[in-house]
Amino acid sequence: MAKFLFESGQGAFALTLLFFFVFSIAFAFVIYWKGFAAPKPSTTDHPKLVRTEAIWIFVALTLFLVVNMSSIPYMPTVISNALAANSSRNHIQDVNILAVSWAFDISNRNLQVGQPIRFSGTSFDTLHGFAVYQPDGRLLFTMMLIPGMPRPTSLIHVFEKAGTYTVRCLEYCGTGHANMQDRLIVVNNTSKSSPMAGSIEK
Amino acid sequence: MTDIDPRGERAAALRRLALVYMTTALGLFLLMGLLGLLMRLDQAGLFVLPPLQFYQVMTLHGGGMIAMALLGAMGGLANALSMAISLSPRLLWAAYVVYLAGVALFVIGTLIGGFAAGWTMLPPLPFDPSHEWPLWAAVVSCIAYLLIGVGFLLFCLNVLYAARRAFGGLGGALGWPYLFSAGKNQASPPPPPMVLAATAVSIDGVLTVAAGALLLMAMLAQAAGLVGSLDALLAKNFMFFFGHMTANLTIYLAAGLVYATLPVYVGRAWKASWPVVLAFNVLVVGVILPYPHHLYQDFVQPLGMQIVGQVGSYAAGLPVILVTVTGGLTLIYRSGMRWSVPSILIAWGLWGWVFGGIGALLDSTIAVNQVMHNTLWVPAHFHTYYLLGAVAFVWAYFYHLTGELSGRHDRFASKIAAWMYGLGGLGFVLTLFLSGAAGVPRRYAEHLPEWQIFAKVGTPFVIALGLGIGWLAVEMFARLGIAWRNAAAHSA
Repeated sequence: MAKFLFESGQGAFALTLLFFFVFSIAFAFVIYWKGFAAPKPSTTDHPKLVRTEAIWIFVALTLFLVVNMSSIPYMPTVISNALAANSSRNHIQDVNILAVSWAFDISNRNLQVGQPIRFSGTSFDTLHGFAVYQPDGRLLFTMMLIPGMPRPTSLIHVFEKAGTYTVRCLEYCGTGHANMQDRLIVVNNTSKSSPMAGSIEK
Repeated sequence: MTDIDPRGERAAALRRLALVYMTTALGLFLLMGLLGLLMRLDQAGLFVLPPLQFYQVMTLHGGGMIAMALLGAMGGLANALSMAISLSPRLLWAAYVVYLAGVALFVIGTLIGGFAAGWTMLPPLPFDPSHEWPLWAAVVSCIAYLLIGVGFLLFCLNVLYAARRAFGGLGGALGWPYLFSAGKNQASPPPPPMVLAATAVSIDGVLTVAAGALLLMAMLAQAAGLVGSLDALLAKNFMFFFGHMTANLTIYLAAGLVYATLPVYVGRAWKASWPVVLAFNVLVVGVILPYPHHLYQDFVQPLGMQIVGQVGSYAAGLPVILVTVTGGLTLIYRSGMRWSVPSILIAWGLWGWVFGGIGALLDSTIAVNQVMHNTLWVPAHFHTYYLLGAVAFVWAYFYHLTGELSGRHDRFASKIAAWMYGLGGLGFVLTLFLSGAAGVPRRYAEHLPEWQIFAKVGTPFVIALGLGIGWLAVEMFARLGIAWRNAAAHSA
């Protein structure tokens, strides 16, 4: 459930729709049936309404607290720390990126499934994004490339599936923004695959 | 509070001022809305805008809509507040002139100058020489933002001065005697909720304009060759502190209008309860914290800033949304609410504020943001709580005000138009949410064929929304003459 929520856009959409339906039904009930269609003045005493309000706020706060807490294991940095503890330094492959309006210079576009890859990037001119899309078109991860920084933005990712991954700039960078694209070719590892998966920030 | 007189000259001047502020806002909304429709048609593949023109339109649409909503909320609240605090009409007229000059310059910078760096104009993009707009267009656009900021600052200072005078200090205007006595200090009842909203927003408004002015001055100094290049990450922090907070504060300012309008239609007074006072006090600090959620993927930024962004997003939005929406619903509950355009728009607004807020909170969750950042999910959530939240509140108050002042009431067709506005908006934002969930990027002039279906489905909803607000706008504009004349004597 948490994996579905935090690792795909559809998860967040499903949760939003859940709120949409539940809240909309309660909302319509109050607005229409109790607001418009029941024109008699309320006989409900104020303390009872305040109590209802307090219960609803408590439930909502609890729900939001649960979403926050359950998201922690899926935070890029938390995954990073876990993976870094299990990765030897030599095991990580480095891929360097330089973004220039409107193209990417990527040091290696041919990658392997199961291999931890450290993407390190910077920008020559303005802010750019480095967003990797899965072969099925869903967004996998994003990082920002910033000009003039003393160190690059860096993120480690382990690809789980072979295929052609599209790279897109997702930080608006001028009139050629929509055409700033590239590709990564991920193939199955001929040696034994690494059990590690996920994206980490270093 | 001796100069609070709803029949006095000051109150009459504020009514007229509200009419001018809100008429300007509505006019801007219609124009910027047409630009939005053009963009959606382009993304649907039904109309072709060359990339430069698309991004000019996108820049103007974004900046213009934020400026429009803030202007409308300021104007409406200036009048609503006249029952409780004594604002200076002269200062607010000055603010209007400065603000409008800023909007005009932004139109010139984008449409004539071709400035297309997006409404967030993140450095170094605006002054990057490799782009297609001239230096003067970027300079004019920066000055435009400065003037809009100064207009907002004048409003904030005016509110803070008047609230301080009326309630014996800012603590009084924020209801501290009542808050810290756990609601037991009956000798010091809390200020009306709209005063709480206006005071909380104005305190943060001063901060956000200060941050924005500092950045914009630095950008202008860079353009003049007085300083070297700005630190891009620091500038991004400043820009989102300014931009995010301004957009966010607009919503809470507009929420103040709900407190002023809804009681008229439910026949019940909306007094500030202890949770309401607490929520607006939390807001003063809470609204400062969420802006780092725009920088989650800037991994060179310390992790602590990201955590502040996530926790702050929940802390800022939740208290006021929950308290206002549940307070509004309990006010409506078995009230026999009058079913008219303002109450329909407020119902849409309360609903949209919650729904957009949920979309925003999910997106501000770092793990979710990793697969949502800068997709159409972002415009989905802010269009929901703007179009179907803050802006709906502004139109509700404007319709109510022009109705009261002109004596003209809504007809059956007006109510249909109000429903069309909401249903059109709902369909439109749902297609945006779906696009975001599918990973469709925002700010793309060209959409892949497989992405165009979302915009194609969304376009008729945008047209329905436009027809709805168009109808209501014609009604409101037609009432203006008589409303203006009656504003001098009326006590609305």
